[in-house]
Amino acid sequence: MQKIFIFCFFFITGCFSSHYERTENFSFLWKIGDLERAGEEASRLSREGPKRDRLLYHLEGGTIARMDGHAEGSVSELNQAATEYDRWFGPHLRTETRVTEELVSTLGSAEWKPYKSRIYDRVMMRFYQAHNHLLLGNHGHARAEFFKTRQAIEDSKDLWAFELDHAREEAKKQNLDLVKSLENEDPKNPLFLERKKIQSLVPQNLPSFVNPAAIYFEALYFLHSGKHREDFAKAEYSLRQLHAIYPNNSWILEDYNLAQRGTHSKQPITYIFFETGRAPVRLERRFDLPIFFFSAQSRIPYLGVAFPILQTNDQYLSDLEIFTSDAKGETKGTALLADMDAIVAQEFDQYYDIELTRAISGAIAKGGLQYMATNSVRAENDLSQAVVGAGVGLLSQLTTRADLRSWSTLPKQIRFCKIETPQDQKLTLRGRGTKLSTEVMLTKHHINLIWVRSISNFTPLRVVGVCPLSNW
Amino acid sequence: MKPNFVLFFSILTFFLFSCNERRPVGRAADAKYLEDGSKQGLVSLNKINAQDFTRAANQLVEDLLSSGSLSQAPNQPAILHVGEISNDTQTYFDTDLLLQGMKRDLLASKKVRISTTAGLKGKITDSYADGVRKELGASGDHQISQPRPFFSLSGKIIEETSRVEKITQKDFYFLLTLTELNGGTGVWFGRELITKQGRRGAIGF
Repeated sequence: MQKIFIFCFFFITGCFSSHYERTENFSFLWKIGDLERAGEEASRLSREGPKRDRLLYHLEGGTIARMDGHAEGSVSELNQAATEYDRWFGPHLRTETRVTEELVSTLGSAEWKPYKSRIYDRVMMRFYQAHNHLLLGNHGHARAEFFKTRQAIEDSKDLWAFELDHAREEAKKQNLDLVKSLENEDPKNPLFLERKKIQSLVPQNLPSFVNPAAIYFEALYFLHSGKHREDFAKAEYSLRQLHAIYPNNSWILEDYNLAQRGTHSKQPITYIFFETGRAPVRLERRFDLPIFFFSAQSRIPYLGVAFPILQTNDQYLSDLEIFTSDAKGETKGTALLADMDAIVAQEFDQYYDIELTRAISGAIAKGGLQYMATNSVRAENDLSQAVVGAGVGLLSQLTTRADLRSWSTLPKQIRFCKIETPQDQKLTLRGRGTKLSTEVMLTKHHINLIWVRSISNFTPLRVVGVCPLSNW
Repeated sequence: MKPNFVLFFSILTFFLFSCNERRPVGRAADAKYLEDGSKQGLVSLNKINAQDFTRAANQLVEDLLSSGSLSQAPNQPAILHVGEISNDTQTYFDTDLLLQGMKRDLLASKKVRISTTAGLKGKITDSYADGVRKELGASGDHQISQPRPFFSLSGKIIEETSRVEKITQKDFYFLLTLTELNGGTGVWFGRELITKQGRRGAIGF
């Protein structure tokens, strides 16, 4: 019986792998800018990886395809991600889950639960999809995506409130008082210190769950392609929000004034959206109690908690220089539009209580299971008790994992610039302080949008696409 | 000890290996035909279904015809240009799903003729017909007449979402405007509202 137990133990523990282990190759290829192979790896993960992470793999694949110039491929991947998202949530913002899914992720690793996307994922997914459709000339589809983007932003607060209520109910059932532990502002309290670090990334003027880049893109669409009074009203509403976040930005103010007057720009204009760097990643922080695996008397051999913390990526191209033939040697730079570090950190902070509840619930449940197992062999000899104790303790330790999954191909920052379209329809873009440059030809339309992506200050600039925002 | 041990590992194995892909339960649904506008059609909360377009079109046409606005045209039947219907919902669809039924019903009423060749460049319903008419007109063919539309129909479809606790409500507003082109004034404003409500039980996230 002991031999069977030892065999089963090693068989089961050999099957555990984390999200980072599964996506190691993909992450490496993405970081070095080998988009073709990164795209192939994302497709392979979508086919062969765990089905619970399928939504995430489609998001990654969709971003890679966009950057690699395959707008149709990106549309397909993001549509599949949207289908997965709708399968979970639909219009209700409430997902049905099986009781076993909840129990498995509580007793096992937090990553065993299906990845259902974070709030900022949903907004970025619609944001990218709207741009994909504009690149392909599918204005009807792009329009629908803009409405979905706005709805995703409006739904975000409701969704967070639902999840917080649910987490509080679960905590109450286990007699946990989270608010008390987090209110403890002891500088030595590691939870307090970690939370302060995350909160320091979020500026005071950023409203909850708002993505300024998504709002600005929506506003520009309605402002420059709008024909009706209501289109200008939609643009004005969004630009008013943005003006409150960036009151000193003259470009946003100009667009806001146009929307208020219900007029189009007389001069041909080109907007540049510049996505740079990589979004923050999740790392694990563990608190393990001293363990005595081989103690025959230990009823709970292992007790620990693992929850995620955020790590920003600070290797990125800080700005873009824009050269035109009209400017006679002068260059223009970009301004910050959306700080994804802040957006991710803000959502992380909002969900901190929920993540902590789940981590502690998991630890308590695992402790209970260990107690059951060790208690059942208390009448056996010391060796059997020790082996069983060590086994369940090690199993608990291996399954005490934080959920480290996140959409890794998002940018660190989204920056933007607005210039008058040069007469020769040509721009040169160069990374500030580098020799990474590219030339871009514009369309003959009145309002153009150039979308540029940079992964790091060592990888080439990628022009995702040039599309018109106006119909003339 | 042995029964407890076996029970413990059975439970553990069940939990560890129960993360299967969710599959639909029950036998596959039988396929069947439904009448146009049937109330038996599928009802989706987050999009406009076929029966919604049929109902909205029927109600709007009935309202337009009963308003008497079309009788204001000096030449009967009036010539109507069907303009753009703006889709302000979260789902892309072809607005002809609404308009084609309306055009058919308006024509059947004998109160309008519908122009398929008048319109801005790129927005003509039948560009071939327009091209042929232009050629024949240029060659002096007297059979080609150039009546200008007296009315223009335009509108939009708006989607609004409301949630209270576990209930979600979607309101789809079909808004149409009939403009008399000589005066540039609206002579009929149509509104049809299709409201859908649904609830979803939540177990967890």
